[in-house]
Amino acid sequence: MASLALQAICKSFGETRVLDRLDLEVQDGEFLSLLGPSGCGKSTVLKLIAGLDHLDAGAIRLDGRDVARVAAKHRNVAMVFQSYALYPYMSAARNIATPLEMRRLSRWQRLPVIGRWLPGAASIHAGIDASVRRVAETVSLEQLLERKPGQLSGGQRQRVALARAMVRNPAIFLFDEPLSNLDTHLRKQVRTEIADLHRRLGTTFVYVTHDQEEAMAISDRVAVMEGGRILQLAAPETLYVRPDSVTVARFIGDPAINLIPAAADASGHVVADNTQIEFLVPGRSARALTLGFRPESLFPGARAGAMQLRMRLVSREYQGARCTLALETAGGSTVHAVLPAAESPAVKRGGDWQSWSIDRAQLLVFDSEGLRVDLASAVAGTISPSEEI
Amino acid sequence: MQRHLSTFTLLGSLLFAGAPPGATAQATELVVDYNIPAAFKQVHEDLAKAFMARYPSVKITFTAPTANYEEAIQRILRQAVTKQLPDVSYQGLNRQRVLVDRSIAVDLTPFIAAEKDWKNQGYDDALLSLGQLNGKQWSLGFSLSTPVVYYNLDLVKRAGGDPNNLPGSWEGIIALAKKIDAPGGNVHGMQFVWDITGNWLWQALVFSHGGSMLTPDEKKVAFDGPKGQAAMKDLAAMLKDGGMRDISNPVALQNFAAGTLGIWVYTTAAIGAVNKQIGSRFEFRTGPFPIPVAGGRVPAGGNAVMMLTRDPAKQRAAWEYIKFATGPVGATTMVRATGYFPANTIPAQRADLLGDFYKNNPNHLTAIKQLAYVTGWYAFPGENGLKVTDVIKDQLQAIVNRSTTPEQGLATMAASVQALLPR
Amino acid sequence: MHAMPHRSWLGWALSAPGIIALFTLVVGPGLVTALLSFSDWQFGATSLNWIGFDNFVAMWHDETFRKAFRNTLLYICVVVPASVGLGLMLALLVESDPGLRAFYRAAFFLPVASTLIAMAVVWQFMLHPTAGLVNHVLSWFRVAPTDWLKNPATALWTIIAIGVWSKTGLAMVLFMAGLQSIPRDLYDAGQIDGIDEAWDRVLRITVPMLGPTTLFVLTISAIQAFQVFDTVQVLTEGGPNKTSEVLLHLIYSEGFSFFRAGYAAALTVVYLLVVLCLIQLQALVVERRVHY
Repeated sequence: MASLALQAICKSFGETRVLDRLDLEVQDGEFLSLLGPSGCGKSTVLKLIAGLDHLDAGAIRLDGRDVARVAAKHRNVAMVFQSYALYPYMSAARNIATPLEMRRLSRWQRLPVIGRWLPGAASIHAGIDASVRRVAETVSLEQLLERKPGQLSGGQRQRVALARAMVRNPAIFLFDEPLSNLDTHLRKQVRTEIADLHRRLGTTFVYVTHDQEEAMAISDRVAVMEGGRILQLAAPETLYVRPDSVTVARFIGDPAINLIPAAADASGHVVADNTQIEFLVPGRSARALTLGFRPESLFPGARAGAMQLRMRLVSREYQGARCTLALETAGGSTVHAVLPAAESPAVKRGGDWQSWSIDRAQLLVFDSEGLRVDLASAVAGTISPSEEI
Repeated sequence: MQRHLSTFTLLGSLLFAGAPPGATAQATELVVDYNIPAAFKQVHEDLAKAFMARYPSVKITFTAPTANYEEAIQRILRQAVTKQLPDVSYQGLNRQRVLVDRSIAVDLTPFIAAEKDWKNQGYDDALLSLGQLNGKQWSLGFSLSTPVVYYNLDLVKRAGGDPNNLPGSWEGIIALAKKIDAPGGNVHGMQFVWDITGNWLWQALVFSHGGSMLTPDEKKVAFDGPKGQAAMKDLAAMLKDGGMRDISNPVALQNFAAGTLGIWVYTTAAIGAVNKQIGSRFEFRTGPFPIPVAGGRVPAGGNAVMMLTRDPAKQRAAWEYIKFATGPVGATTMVRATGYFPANTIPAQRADLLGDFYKNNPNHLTAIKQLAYVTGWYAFPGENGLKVTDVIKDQLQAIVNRSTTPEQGLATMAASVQALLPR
Repeated sequence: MHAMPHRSWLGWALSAPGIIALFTLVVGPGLVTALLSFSDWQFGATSLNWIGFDNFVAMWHDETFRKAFRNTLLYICVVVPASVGLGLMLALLVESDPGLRAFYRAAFFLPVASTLIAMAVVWQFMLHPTAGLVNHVLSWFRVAPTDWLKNPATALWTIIAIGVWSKTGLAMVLFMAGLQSIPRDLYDAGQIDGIDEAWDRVLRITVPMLGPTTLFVLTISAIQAFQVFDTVQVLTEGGPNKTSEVLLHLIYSEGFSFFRAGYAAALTVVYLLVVLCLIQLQALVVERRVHY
C-alpha cells in the first residue's frame, strides 16, 4: 500500500513531447483511472510509474521516496497488460511464480535443471508454490494451473495476469487497458471482479482506459487526459455534472452531452436559439459561448422554472427501459434526449415544433476557450454560483 | 528436323526456281559436338566454314560445347539414353573406350577400307593406333599432346645448368631440380603434375619404362611389376630430392609463370598459355619426357573425333568432315591456334602449312619429336574403368602428400585396382 | 447422400494435377532410383543386370562410402550448431543496435543470397597457399601457411568453416525476423517480474520465444548441411584422398564421373533413408517441446 505522486514529469519521444510537466497525486488505497483517447499519454504515464521508461524530468514519489532512478523490479509495483503479456511457453502456475522466482531465488538457483538441486532451493520453491496456490484460489484458477496460456480463454488469461500481479503483494497495481481484448459481456464481469479485488486488497490501483463508462464505473477518481495534460482530475460524479471544460464534458457520458452555440448579449445574458436565458455571464469578453446540457435533463413540454426551447423530434431509438430521441433546434443544432420509454413521444411525419424544457440546474455554459463559465443567476430560486461544488 | 529441312528446301526450290542445282542438294545436316571452347571454339568454327565452302551440300551445326573431357563424355551418355546423339563428337582420347563398350561409336574401319588413296593421306600408323581398340578403328586423332618437361632457363642457369644441354634423364633432371631448389625461399625445384585427368603422367612414367597398366589380356594389374616399380622410384626421387611439393596444378602453373618453379613436367598443350603468361619476362624451353629404356613410350593426350550417326547418308558426310578436320587444312588451323600437334604428318612437312611454324617455335617441336614412340592413353576395361582411375589418383595423392611410402602406395594401388577389374 | 459419388469424383479431379505431379516428379523417380539400386546399370548403357543386394553389400565394404558418411555427419554436427548459435548471437547483437541493422543484415545475408559456387571461387582465392589472404593474415600471428584445401588435416575443416560462414547469415536473418515478432510487452512484463538483466532476458524470454523459429532454422540448416555439395565440388572434389568426401558428392562422382549408376542409385537410396530418419527424429524429439 502506498501513495503515489508524479511531480512535473516530462517525457518526449524524439521530437514529440508526450508529457509536459504533468502532476498527479494518488492517495493510498485509491482507485484512480487515467482516461483519454489513444495518444493522450496515459499509457506513457503508466510505464513511467512502472519503471519501464525513463523520465526526462520530474519526480515520481512512492510514499514520498523518489523512485525515478529505481529499477522496475525494485519499485514494488505490479502491472497487468492489455495483451496480458503472459509467457506463452510456461504453464499458468509458472507464469504466476515467475515474479517470486526472480526475487527469492539466487542467480545460481535460477539456473535451469541444476538450480533446483542447489542448497536452499527446495524450500524456497515450496514457499513459492504455496503462494501461487493461494493466489490462484482467490482468482479461481486452481484447476487451470498446469495449462499453458494458449489453452486458456481470454478471461482466464486475464485472471492469470492478475494472479501474477497479485502474487507478490505489490504496493501499487497498474492496469493498462486490461479489458479491451475481452468481449462486451466478459468486460463488464471482469471489471466488477477488478473493483471487488480493489475493495478486498485495499491497495492503490492506477488504471488506464479509453472507455469512459469503465472508468466511471469502478474508479474513486478519474483523470481525464488529452495531449499529455490532465484536463480534470475528479470523482466520476463531478466530472459528469461539473466538467471543467467542453472537452471533458464531451468525453464523459453516453449518449454524449448536448452542445449548442450560444452568445452573451449586451447585458451579459446568455442567448441561445433566440431565447434569452436568464443567466448572467460575468465579465464582458466572452461573447461566443457554448451551452451544454445532458440528454436526461431535457423534457417534453413546458415546465415551470425550466428553460424552454422550440424543437422538433427527428428520430427515436427504443432501448427497453428508455428511449433516446434526436431533436432539431430552431438554430439547426441536433440534440439528444433520454426519457423513460413510457414518457417518450412518438415521431410524427413532418414533425411539429414543440416546446421542450431544460432543467436550469443542469445547464452548463462554456466560453470561447471551452472552459466552463461560472454563472450568476438573475432569477431568484435558480441555482446560484456559490452553491457550486 | 529432317522432315522440316526437306520441306524448307522444297519451298526454297519452288521460290527460287532459277537457283543453281547445288542448292537443292543441301539436305544433309551434321550435328557436331566439341569440348574445351576456350581453346577450340574459333578453330571449329573456322573449320566448319571452310568445310561447308568445299561441300555446300552439308550443313554443320554445333551443339553448345562442353567444358572438359568429363562433361563431354557425360553428355554423350545422357544423349544416348534420350536418343539425341550428335552425328560427330570430339572426345578425350581415354574416353573413347566407354563409347565403344556402350556400342555408341561407329566403327571407322570400313570407311578407311573404302578409301582409294589412304596411304598417302598422312595418317601415320602410330597415330592411327591411338584410335584403335579390339582391332578396329573408332576415331581419328584431332589435337594431340604428349608430356614434356618445361625448364625455366633463368633458374637453370642460376643453378649452374647449361641451357643448351638440358638433362635427358630423370637423374639429371632431379639433380638439376635439387640445385635449383637449394637456395630455398620461394624458389622451388620441380613439379611433376601427377594429377592430370586419367592418370596421364602416371601412365607416362610406367610406359616410359616399357611397362603397361594391365597384362595384355587385361585381367591382371601389371604396373606393380619391376617396370612399374622403376617408375615409382622416379616419382619417389622427385619427392625426395627434386623439391616437389604437394600442390595443385593451378598453383604449379602460377609458380612457373611467376618464375619461381624451375622444372615443370606437364603437357605440350600448355605452351600457348604459358607463352602468353610469361611474355618476355624470362625464357623457358621444353624438353622431351625422359625415356629410360629402349622401347619406352609416352601416352598421347588430346582430342579424337568419332562418328556416332547410324544414318548412311549422314555417315558419308560425316566421314568427309572427319577427314577434313584431321587432314592438312584442319591440322594447320588447329596447331596455329593451340599448343597441340596434329595426328597427320603432312602439314609439318610442308613449309606453306606448318613447316615454318615449327622451325620458328622449337618449343612446339619437342612433342613432334616424341611422335616416334607415342602410344595410346590407356582406358581401363569394364564397368569400373573410370573408378579405377580415381583409385590410382587417391594412392598417388597419398604418396605425394607423404601419408604413405611409394612402395606401400604402389602395393595398395595394385590391390585396389585388381579388385575393380572385370573377372 | 447421393451427392457423395459426384463429390468424390470432383475431389479426385481437383487433386489430379497435384497427384500426377507428385508421382511423376517425386514418387516415380524415387521408385526408379530404388529399382536401379538393385542393378548394375552403367550410365548410358542400353542393358542392365539385376544383381540383388550386391550394391549394398559393396557399399558396406566401401571405405570411401564410410569416409563420406563420417565426413557428412561431422559436417552436420559442426555446421548446424555452430551456424545456428552464431546466427542467434549475431541476431541479438544486431537487434541491439538498430542503427546499423540494415548494414549488418545485408552483410551477413550476402553469402545466402549469392550462389555458393561463386562464393566458393572467392574462397579459393582467399585460401590460395601462397597468394591467399587467409595465409597472409595468419602469418601475422606466426601461424605457418598451409594449403588449406590440399592438406588432409585441414580440407574438411575448411569446408566446414565455409559451411558455417554461409549458413550463419540465413540463421541470423531468420532469427532477426523471429526477434521482431516477440511482443515488446513481454519484455516489459519481464522487467516488472524481475527479468531485467540481459542474461536472464535472453534465457527466460528471448530463447523460449524463439522456439518455433529455432526449430525451423535447425530443420532448414540440417537439411541444407546434409546437402553439402557445391563447395566440395568446386574446392576439393572430395580430396585429398577422400578426406573431404561427402555423401552427395560421392553419389555425383559414382554416377556421373565413374558412370556406376546402379551403385550411385544404391547410395542415393541410403542417403534418402538417412534424410527420412533425420526428419522423423527431429519431429519426434524437438517438435513436441517447442510448440505452445
